[in-house]
Amino acid sequence: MENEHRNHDNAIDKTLAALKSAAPPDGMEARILQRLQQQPAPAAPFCWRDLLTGSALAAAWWRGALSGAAAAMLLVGALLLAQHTLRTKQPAVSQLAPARSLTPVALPVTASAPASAGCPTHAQIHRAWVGSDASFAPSHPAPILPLTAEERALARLARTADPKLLAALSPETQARVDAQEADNYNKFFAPPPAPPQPADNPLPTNMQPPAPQQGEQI
Amino acid sequence: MDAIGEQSLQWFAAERVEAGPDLAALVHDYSGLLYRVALSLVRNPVEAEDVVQDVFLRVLQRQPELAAIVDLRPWLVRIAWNLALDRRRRVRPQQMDEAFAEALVSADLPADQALDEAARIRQVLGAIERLPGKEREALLLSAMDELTSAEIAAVLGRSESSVRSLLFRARAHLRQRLED
Repeated sequence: MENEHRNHDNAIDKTLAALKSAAPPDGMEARILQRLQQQPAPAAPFCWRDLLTGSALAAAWWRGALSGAAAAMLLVGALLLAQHTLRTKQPAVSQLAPARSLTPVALPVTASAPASAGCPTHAQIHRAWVGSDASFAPSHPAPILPLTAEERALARLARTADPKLLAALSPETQARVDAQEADNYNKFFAPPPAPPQPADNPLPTNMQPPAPQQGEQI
Repeated sequence: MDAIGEQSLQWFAAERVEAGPDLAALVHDYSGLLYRVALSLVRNPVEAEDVVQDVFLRVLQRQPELAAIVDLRPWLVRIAWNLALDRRRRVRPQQMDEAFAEALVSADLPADQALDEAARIRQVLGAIERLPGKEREALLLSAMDELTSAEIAAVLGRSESSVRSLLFRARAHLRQRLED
């Protein structure tokens, strides 16, 4: 048994030793070097970056700088967005100011205009428009005005009230209801009918005492 | 070394090496070890040489970073190991066992002994192939004398004690399989 174990161990050791002692084929180094020589040179690292400091430190510096620049850009973007939002919430100046005409003013034609004087340049057009009332023209649609108290009450009523109640808001319905109420009132409080005037025979016929019969003695 | 090799060595020494270790010196120092590491996995000399070549191509691509690598040997072995594992999925090492075992037998032995030896090596190689993956890898790397257990641990991404445990279990399992 021990012999068998030893034989197996020997076999394992021999195999591992054979693996360990395997020699590379002849000329392998030369072939590898030749292959490497045919390869294009690797991309050069950022020399200007490494000029600042050592490569590791420079990489850290650049990471920091890029992160800072990105953060600054985000901050500026957020500020601009906030400013734009505030502007749109405030009433436009043009709404407060009286309405002005949007017609452009006549373009000034100077003597020193270029050869194509008949055709104003872009700069001239821009200057004319900036100086005119067009600059005060509303650039955004007018914001929606807030509801009045009555409008708010109506809106709330429309959302929550009973349909019958809503129908009563119609003038015709309201008039009809008022008329009916007045009619009821009048009916209820109407003066009682006048009592009948006493006549010659006030009692009805059936209430009249029977006529004395002939020969009856009273 | 032939003329091409000499020329290549001069070229690398003169032009290509700007910083860090000399690539030609790396090829000279480590190609043998990397070849054996690759051969133990792929069991085919041609495939193993291709793996070594690929390793140095990778090194060339990352040459600017070489100066920052503290310990080159485990780094190179790890590259070779991973490339050989990739290649092993394409080739079937078991098919190479017969020729490989014959190549491993010493040429000095008489023919009949050489045949016995080759058969025994083939049997051991088959048993190694049936070992669990991590045990097999630890055992094959331990066959390279140049690698310490710390370097094997670095290549396999395990602790040293774990590597020692894997080696112990691998030998026990291997012995057991050879007895079956």
